[in-house]
Amino acid sequence: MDNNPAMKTLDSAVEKYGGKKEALLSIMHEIQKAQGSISEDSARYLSQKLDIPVSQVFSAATFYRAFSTEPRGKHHIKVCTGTSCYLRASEKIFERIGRELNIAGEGASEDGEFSVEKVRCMGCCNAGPVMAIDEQICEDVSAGKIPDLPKQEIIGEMTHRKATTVIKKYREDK
Amino acid sequence: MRISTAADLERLKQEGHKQLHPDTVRIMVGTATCCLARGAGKVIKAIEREAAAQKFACTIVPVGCIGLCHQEPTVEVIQPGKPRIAYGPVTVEDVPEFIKALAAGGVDKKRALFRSEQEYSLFAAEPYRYAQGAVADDLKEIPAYSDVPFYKKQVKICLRNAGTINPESIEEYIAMGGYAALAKAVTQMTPEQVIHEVTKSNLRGRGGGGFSTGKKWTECRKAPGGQRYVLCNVSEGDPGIGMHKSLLESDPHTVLEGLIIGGYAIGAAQGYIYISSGYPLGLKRLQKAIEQAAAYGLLGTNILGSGFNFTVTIKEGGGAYVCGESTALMAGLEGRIGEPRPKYIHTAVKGLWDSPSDLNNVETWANVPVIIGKGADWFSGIGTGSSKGTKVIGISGSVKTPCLVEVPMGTLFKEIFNEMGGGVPAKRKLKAFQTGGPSGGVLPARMLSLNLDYEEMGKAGTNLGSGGFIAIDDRACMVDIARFFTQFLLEESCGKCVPCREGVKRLLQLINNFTIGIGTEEHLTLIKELAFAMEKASLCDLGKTAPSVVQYAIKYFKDEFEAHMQGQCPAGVCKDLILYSIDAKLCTACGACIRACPVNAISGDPGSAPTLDMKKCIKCGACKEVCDVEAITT
Repeated sequence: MDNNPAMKTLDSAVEKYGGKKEALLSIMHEIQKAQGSISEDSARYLSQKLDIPVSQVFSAATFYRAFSTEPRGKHHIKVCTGTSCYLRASEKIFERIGRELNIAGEGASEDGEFSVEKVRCMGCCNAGPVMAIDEQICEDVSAGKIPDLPKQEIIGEMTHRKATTVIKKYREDK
Repeated sequence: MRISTAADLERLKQEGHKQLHPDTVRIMVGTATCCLARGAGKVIKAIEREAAAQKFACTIVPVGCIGLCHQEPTVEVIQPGKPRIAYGPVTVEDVPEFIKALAAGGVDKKRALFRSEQEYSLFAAEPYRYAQGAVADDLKEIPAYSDVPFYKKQVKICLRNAGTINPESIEEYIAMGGYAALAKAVTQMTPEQVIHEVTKSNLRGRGGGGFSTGKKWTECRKAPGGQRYVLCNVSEGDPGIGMHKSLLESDPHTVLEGLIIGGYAIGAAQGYIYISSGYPLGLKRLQKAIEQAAAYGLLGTNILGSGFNFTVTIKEGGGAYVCGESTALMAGLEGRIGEPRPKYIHTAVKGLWDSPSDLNNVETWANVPVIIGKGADWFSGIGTGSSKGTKVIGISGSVKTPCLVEVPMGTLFKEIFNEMGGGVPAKRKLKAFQTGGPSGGVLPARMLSLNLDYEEMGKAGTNLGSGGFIAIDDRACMVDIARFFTQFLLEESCGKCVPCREGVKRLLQLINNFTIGIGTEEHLTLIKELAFAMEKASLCDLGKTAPSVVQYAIKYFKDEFEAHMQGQCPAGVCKDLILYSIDAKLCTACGACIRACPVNAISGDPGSAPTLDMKKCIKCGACKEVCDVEAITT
């Protein structure tokens, strides 16, 4: 098991925090970042390494929103559903993305290309509704813009247009 | 270099001063997350490129947020000998023209917002003047900072350095009088004197509770035990707030300095900052601040030669609303899931690892250096009878100009909303406003005459919370708002105690009766009974305040609940109660709705109003959104 590359990430994360039990969340953040989820194998291995019950690892993985037990897609989309964005119809954006990518609710598409998640406030209430694709924040999104993006302006590294062409191309390939 | 005396600090201050006011042009670009979302990162690159191309010598500095979120990306420029001028929005396309104007030694009047003759500084005896003498004639048409309505009523304590200093430079923070309060506290004051000063200032918790900070500190200092801790909570999982994030991203050192002073006052050698996982930039800047402070010996052993030792560790949270509750947060710090415990014994006595612990919100900590530096009397001169100082407010929702402001306690919501937020957008009507997040309340528009004060707001049925102000216009359905917050709490309830876990679930069921049109008076009575039980029996404040938004929605917007009983949703939000239709009289046959419909339910020939197939319609509202003439009705 120790030769498995996935478990090596785990080992280094545990080592980084000196194998302390109270660093469980910090270690899990590292694993989530590196592997995209806290898998059952990781949870079991971690419980052995830190000498805590596997249920404790699993409860933390399911309790906190920052962790997921299901693998995330290659591109992870976060849709802000904070109050301000909700009032600006972010729920419709979420539904629309789901429909375009054929994902029911939160989760990943069948081929693992995309996953979508609702998040709480992303702290850009003034620019809402916002969503993020692979940590790049797109401001002032709307459900209508998801499939064919009329807006031309460039925002940050990721444009609305780019974001939507990625999605659109994916749909056409299917 | 290690700072071990006040004289060392003074030397560093001079150095920082040179950085803040260089001989070349200093271009400051706002780079908080909100600015970056609007493209500030690209603007910096474009400025660098353009300055090199035009051989224009300048220093480009990332700074925090100046609060004018609707003008982002914002850029401020200090040309030696001239007033500091703020510009916005400066987009990538604007940069060549903008730099050309600056390189010629002039001003880009087209994008100029306002000018400042002197630096905004709380600590300087004589504020630094950017320009000497009278204002040049050609600059007079640019409004002065003191005349800009947006800033007129603001008093900046926590955000005093936001937009002026590079948040990643400790020297610039020191130049603005930073860490002088720490030096004063550890070398000239006893811990008791520090606590006395904070108590006298009447500073109260800025996270929502409003508990006296001084009292909390006193209790924690007096609690028996050896090891004790000071903790900082950076808004964990609250929806609708960007201000804590902005504060941390704009000036992390003020939070850190406050925490170190708190550690000294309480007698703690270790501090923890618990920061939500969704704040990567704030986390990065805070990390840097800690490294810099440690390198100068402002953290570590024998701080400023006083014999006081203190270290700070950052802990990244997992994104759980309940972790805003003190005992849940401490459970999170210990590496467990964030379940609260009963607080028969205060956390000030038995908190983190059963040691006395003091937990304050990030904004509360940011106030501390100013209270110590300027004195309690100065601080308590601002605000109302029982609420002192200022509050950072994030204004969002249905406003013309979303922004971030810091206003004195006692400011009227009307002023905040109209003068800073710019009022409601055209064609809309303000229906309600929300403060205090899911544990707060919704208040009708007429209550805008309320002022920012812990007691007044409590009486009106809401709380200050962490300072989000969300304007709700006539497009929103209040039953749906009640449902939204209850749904949020359902997902965030930790599930430990029955009144909250089951109560929130039943509450949501009851509200859902209204959203599908089968609600009755009896259901309203049941909500009232349930709310009473939850308030009395829940373990922590999450459960106790969970029915709050619903109750106030019923109290102030009973007519909307009654309409839902009749099977109508006046705002056209609740899907089960609405049918879309196209008003042929208003329709211009532009075809936008046909293209927008994801399920091809709308069809028609060019030149005439299209028809909507109700069998196919999924009520997603995409057609309504794209219709320019509001011909799609519900």
